[in-house]
Amino acid sequence: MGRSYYVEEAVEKYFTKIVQQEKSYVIGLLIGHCSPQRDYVVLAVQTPQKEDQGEVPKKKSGSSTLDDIDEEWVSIHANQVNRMLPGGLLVVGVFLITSPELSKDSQNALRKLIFAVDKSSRKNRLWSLDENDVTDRVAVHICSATKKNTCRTFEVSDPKSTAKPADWKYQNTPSYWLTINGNVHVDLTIPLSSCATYQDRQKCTRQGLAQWAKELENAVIFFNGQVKDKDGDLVDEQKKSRSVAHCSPQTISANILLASNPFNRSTALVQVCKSSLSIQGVVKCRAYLSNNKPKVKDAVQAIKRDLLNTVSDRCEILFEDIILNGSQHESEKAPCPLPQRLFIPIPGSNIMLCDYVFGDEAEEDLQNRFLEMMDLEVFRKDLEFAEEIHTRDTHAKDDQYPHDSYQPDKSSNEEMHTLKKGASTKFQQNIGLLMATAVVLLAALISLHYLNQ
Amino acid sequence: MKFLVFFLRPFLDLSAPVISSYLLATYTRVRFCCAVCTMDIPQQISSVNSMSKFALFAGFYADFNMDFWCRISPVIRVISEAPEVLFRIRGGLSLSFPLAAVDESSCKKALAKEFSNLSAKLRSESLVFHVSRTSLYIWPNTGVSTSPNDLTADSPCGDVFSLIQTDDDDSKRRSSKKKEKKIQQQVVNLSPMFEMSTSSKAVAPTIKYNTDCHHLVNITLPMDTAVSLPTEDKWGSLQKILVDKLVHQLADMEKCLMKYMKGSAICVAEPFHFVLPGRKELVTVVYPAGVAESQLENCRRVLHGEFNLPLDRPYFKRANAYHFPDEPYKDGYLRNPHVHLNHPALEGGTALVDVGDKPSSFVGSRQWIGSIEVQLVLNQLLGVTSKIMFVNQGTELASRGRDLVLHFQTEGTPVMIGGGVLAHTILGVNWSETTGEIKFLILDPHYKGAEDLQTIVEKVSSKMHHAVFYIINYQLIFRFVWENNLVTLCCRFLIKNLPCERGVRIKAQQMY
Repeated sequence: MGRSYYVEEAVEKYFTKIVQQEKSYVIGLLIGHCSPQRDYVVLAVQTPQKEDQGEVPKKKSGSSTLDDIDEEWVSIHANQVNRMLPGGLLVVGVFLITSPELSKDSQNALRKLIFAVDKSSRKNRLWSLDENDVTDRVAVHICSATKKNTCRTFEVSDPKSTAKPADWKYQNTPSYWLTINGNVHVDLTIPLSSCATYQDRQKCTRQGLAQWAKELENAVIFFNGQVKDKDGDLVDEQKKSRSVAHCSPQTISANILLASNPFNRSTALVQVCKSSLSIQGVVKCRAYLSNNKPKVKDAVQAIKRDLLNTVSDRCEILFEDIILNGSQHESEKAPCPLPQRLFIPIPGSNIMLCDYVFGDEAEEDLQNRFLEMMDLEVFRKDLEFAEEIHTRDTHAKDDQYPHDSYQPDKSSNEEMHTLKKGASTKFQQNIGLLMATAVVLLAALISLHYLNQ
Repeated sequence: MKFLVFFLRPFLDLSAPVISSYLLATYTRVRFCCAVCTMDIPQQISSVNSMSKFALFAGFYADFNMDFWCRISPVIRVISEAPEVLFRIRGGLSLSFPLAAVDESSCKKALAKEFSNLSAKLRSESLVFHVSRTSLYIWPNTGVSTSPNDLTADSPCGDVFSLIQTDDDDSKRRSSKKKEKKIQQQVVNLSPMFEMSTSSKAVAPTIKYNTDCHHLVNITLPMDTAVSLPTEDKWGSLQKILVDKLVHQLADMEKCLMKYMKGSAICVAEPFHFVLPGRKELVTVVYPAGVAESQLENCRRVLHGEFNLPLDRPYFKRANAYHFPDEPYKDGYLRNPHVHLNHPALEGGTALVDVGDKPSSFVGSRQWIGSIEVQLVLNQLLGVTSKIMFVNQGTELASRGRDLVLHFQTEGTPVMIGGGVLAHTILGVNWSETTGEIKFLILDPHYKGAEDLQTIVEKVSSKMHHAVFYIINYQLIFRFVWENNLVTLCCRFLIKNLPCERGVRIKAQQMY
């Protein structure tokens, strides 16, 4: 028996919308949740057009074939999308909508896409798969004329695997998801064996984070303050029935405890490096699990992976930004803020997607990105800013370096999110200056007034 | 056999039955006990200058500097009047800090800074203790725990046992095991953890380069503290004591690290617990790892002074450290051959076939071999040469006293003695040059009974015709009067330059 995919109604609507666009073919990603028990698809997103490519010709123009599909481009899209997924969610597969004349090649194209996407997602992943992981990925083909869909799965761990039939079931009622939340304090020091270029630094940071991922393997995680058996149910039956009755999605808090290290060395390990970097902050972790008898180990896995992803994705984003645009920080000694995490709801589900924004990014940037990557329109009122922006230097170990002239920024905009205000940091500073001038003027006026009296 | 030697612990106030029962530790079907033994003993003994002590066995009061005695493994049972619980916290705490320069002073400065950070972390609310084999986690600095109803601040700390799962429920059925458990002190193992999660607001992380950093130091401090408390003591007050102990040990480790660091070479500090006469509490001392005992002599001398202890017994040598009853031995020495020792006959048998002494059918058979064969096997497998001495009668053995003393003085390896179907191992002799009277310290590899002196006495004496033994000063010395039996002595000579690796390898093969 093949796998069964429980698909949100919104996905069906989305497909209908794309079919109406009457393109000769459309490729996209399927986002959902895999568990040994059941698989879910909550969102379908079409892959944006590559800029240098012309529009996919409209139906019946004839010349287009599926050979033009750029798997690398789709993989890049999948990587970008992966960063926007909190724990528990992943790209579960690929869809392809074609005109009837292209349908016969579709299986071959889908197979190539599935393997390409999986290969690239593995590249910078800090965690490794375990025995609970489902390695089947789904390939859905929809004929734009008949609207008939064919659903198959491929075992991505086996490059020679053949397609297996799978069930594709649309759900009428929206599914409810358990939300697991936790704020985790991160304090890492990573040695940089080479720091000549930003690419080198990026590479070293990856290695350092991979080391951190190993340390986290033995971490103990509490859910709602309780330690639970790994193979047990995350939610007590009793509680669950109550929550279903109220029909309110449940939120569970997660606490991560780092186990003490095993000791095996009799001397200190001294690593020679060119420089080091430290990452400090309190990150917001979030994972989603299906409400269908979630296991404790699923929750542990999802929240751990979210923690690893949220830290490593931000470092990747920062380095990519610096490599593309150059460093915007004059002094390397000043702490450089990593992008801030925010959550965005998706229609028809209580799941939220996430994204990372730099303090100087405007709202339009975010909206454009979401439209491009997720084919979603984002409104300011829906945004959930999960983290505050750093204003104080917590890298307190600096006392060892008396030459460090960095002074903590004492501006009082701690509670302000520049993005929320839709203004740049510079503008805020100007406001501050303006206010100060105003106060001085006012004071002068008042004193003048009193003097006159 | 090597394990026999290691069972002796002359410096602790053990009763004679305990020693003797271990002396005649049981093992069955071990044919090449001497072969194993000769490989291991020289490793220990070669570092000892004065073998006379070993040979005569008169002085269990070994020299303060003798390493050998300290390898003798601990067999202790701490018996205290009031029921007590021993709380032991163990776990590696990691220190990781960047270094701008590798000179000692800047290194020390960075280290001190890091230690004070860690110390503050131990006092913070993020410290968590996990009680082994339970689902109990406690936050000692805030008093929070995962079982607030089972253990309140006012409940006696002995109550923690009700939460600990025992491995085998069978033990409840077996009364003998139960008795054993009562004797042992109850140990509660805790491991320190740090909570990464926080209730404080999330703040987007920052990244910072430290261009001055040219070295990154990583140290894992093997914390190990032990506190013994009456079971009635309150759980609430215990938690502070546990943290205090941990912080105190951290300070000890800092001192130790600072003292023994050379440049940026930092050796990890290791804590050891010692039982001292007249003290119920374990005394914990922090020693630098990898530093030889001989280099720590001054350090020990100071400790002896502090605790007002005589200088002629190695109370504070690392090998004398207290061994917790619930902990496996990590030195790799054999303690119970029934558990670990594989039947070694195959190797010996093959060797005998190889030298042409036995037909190929001998391999895998259950035939016993004698001293001559042992000599052949030792020579073939290990390149250890032996000397064979013949004695026509057991009583003539006394005339070999001088030879034996010389052997133990110069070589020190055990002597296999075989006569008829009997075979034993001589570990030491007590020989009087004036009267010619001789006593032997014997290892009997065939004894299978319980560790009970009475049984040992009965069995051994009935088996050994006219064996007479004395128990003097916690020493078990047998005197043999063997009659009408040809007695063969097979003294093995150790090879002085035996490569260490080889010895280790052989040990691994033979023991496990």
